[in-house]
Amino acid sequence: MSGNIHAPLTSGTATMDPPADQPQLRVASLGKTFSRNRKTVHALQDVSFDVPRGQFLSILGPSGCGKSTLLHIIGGFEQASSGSLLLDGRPVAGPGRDRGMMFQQATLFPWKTIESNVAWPFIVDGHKRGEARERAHELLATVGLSGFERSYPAELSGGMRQRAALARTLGLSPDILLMDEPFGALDAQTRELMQEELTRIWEHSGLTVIFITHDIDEAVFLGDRVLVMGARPGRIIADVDVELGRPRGTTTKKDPQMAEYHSHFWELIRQEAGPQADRNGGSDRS
Amino acid sequence: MTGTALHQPQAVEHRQARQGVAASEWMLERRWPVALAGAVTLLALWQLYGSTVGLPEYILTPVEIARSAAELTASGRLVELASASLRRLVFGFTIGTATGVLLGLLSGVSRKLGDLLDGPVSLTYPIPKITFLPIIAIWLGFSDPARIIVIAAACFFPAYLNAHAATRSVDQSLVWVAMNAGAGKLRTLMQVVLPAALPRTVAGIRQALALAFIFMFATEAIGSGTGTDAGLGGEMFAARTTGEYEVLWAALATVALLGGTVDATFRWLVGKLMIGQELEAGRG
Amino acid sequence: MANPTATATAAIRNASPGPSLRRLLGIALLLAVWELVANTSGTRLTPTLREIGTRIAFDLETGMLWFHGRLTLMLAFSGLLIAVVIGCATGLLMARSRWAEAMMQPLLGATYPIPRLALYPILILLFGLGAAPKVTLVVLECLYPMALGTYVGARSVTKDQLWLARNVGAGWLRTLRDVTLPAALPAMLTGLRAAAPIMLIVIVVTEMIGENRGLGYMLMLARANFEPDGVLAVVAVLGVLGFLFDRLIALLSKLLVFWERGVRM
Repeated sequence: MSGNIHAPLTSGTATMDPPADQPQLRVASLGKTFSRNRKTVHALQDVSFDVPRGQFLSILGPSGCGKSTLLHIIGGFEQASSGSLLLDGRPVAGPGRDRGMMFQQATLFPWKTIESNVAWPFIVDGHKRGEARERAHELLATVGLSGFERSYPAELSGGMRQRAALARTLGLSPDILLMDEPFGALDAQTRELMQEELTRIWEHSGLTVIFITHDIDEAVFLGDRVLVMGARPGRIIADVDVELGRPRGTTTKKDPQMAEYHSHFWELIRQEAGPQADRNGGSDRS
Repeated sequence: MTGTALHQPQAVEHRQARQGVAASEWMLERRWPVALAGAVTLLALWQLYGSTVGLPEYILTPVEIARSAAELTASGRLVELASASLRRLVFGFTIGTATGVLLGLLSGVSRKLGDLLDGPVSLTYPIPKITFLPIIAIWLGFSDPARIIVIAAACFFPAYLNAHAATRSVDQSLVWVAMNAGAGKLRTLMQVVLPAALPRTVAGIRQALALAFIFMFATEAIGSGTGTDAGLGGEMFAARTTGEYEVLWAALATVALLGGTVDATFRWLVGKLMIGQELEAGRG
Repeated sequence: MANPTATATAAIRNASPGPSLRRLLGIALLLAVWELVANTSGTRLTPTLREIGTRIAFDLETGMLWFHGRLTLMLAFSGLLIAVVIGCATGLLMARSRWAEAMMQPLLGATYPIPRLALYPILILLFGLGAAPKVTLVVLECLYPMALGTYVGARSVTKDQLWLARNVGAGWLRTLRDVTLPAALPAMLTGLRAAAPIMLIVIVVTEMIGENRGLGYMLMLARANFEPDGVLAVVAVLGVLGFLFDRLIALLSKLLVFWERGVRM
């Protein structure tokens, strides 16, 4: 099965699609620099890749490799220093509902019920309160939170809060889901359950997902394709298609192919981060 | 701007614009240059308006205030007034804060004493302490002791409450570490509990200091005496009725200057002490 | 923040009857000492608790307390209300604009230890005697805790919360109403709790300085008439008012900031 794994690419795209079929997202030689203590830090350097519609793309990298910054730029929250970012052929100008963002923390408002939290985007969009509530109920059912509509975030476990956050993000009806290590703060068991839940929901949705993680198994299990990033400067060191069958579930995790992917990616990351990890302990995430 | 590819010329332009950005960034980062510029501008506008358009006779311009303050300092009157005020402040603050901190620390360490003091303190805490002045004035007259007692009473509460809370909220594991190391009760108290309680206790003392100034002024303004014994507060109200506006403004400037200087000195001193404590802890 | 061990010990402490008895004992001791002094001295200088109580009842009956108290509270609350409005606006502006922050934060810090009360003679010259200088002084004093509370609260809004609002497409007004203000509410109420006693002190002090109405005037009148029971009656009333305000704001915080008492997991 190792033959299916592409050779690591230093940069550029792995476009197999004919040019006529425009990628949904095109990232071209994106760069991000900022100055800290009068020194210029290259958070991202010459990052290029395309994302076709409906793909689940995992971006895997050690902490401090700029993968979150990349996602923030795609989300329109931060600005690139150079390069271009095209969404359906048009440059990205700022945040928008077409790109639904999920954060590492659930970021639910503690003063609103779960229902009101999920309904909030509809209210902002000018929907009537009753209609918004109805939509919220549907979405909460999708993520398996029926019966918790009236609870407050503080009364829910971390995993349930992330489910609610997912429901809220889905409510934006985004074209692309941007997920910034959304399961990173959860305990191991909950994380596994959430991964299976996300796979199930995604396989029925046809959404494009960009999923940031530093967990190799998570990246492989969820993704159609994995981009591996290296740090200092943040750049893409490998672009690999994951050829595991769909639908994926508990059995997928026992697939011997998983182990092969794991050791391949681990080798890549160790080569990249190994000698550097001793020199630079810090992370450039704020 | 994301999405538009930055070409070389734009990048150069960017660099030139950065010079201006860097200057304002420097000011914003430090904050005080902005505040200083704002304050100076305000004073300048005040002065400009006063010397061109003109102000009512009871409002002096900054230059006039500075001049009369200098004259009154040279004549010794301002110094006498300020020392009368400061004497009350120092006595009241010292007595009130020392009592407050001592009892606060003791009642923080001893549950029994803490419970005993808790009742009377929470009973008297909501009373505006300035109301003690008329009753004490009945007993002692509007005298220095009466004023000092009221200032002390005002300073007692923040000092007591913060010292008490600081000692109570000392991390229990620190105490356990000390006990585990075989430290006796006294050693644990002196070397673990008190240092750990210091920051909050000091914050309470700073609150007391601000209150001491308010009460110094208030006790002088109410039932004020005459002459230099009136202090800055009494003299300001006397000057208002007699129309000695330059005395009024000079006294106001002195109160402001004293309040600011004493607080700044206190904070500077605390900064020095705290660093010393940290170094000590590092060595041990 | 809350130390679980400390919370547990506190719970145990509150549950056992001993300490709360000791607390009552403390109050009883204080009052007993007062009674002893009052009874042994036998002069009018130290009225007994009973005499003070009688005086409060008398002042209530004659309408004196109601007349002066109403005036005091009206001025006090007008000042507090204005301070809340201006303070919240200032705090929000400071949290939103870096220039406003750089301008106001050092100025508030530097002027904090200067007693605003010293401005009272100037305010009298500007506005004349009466309500205006008093209310202005209450505003000036209460502005500090309100502005700083709102500033701290508005800054506690996380970057993620603001990004979420941008992602959803919420405008600045919507973000202010649905995100910033609720997040700032706990700290704003803390500011209000600090402002209330200051309000009471300032208004009483201004009434004690050359005035012919208000509770502060009642204090000075009773002193001038050499009536210690009259002074202490007003002191007691002011103490009760201060206590009630504090409890009221604490209750308000509990009701408004309901989400902070929920279970934390």
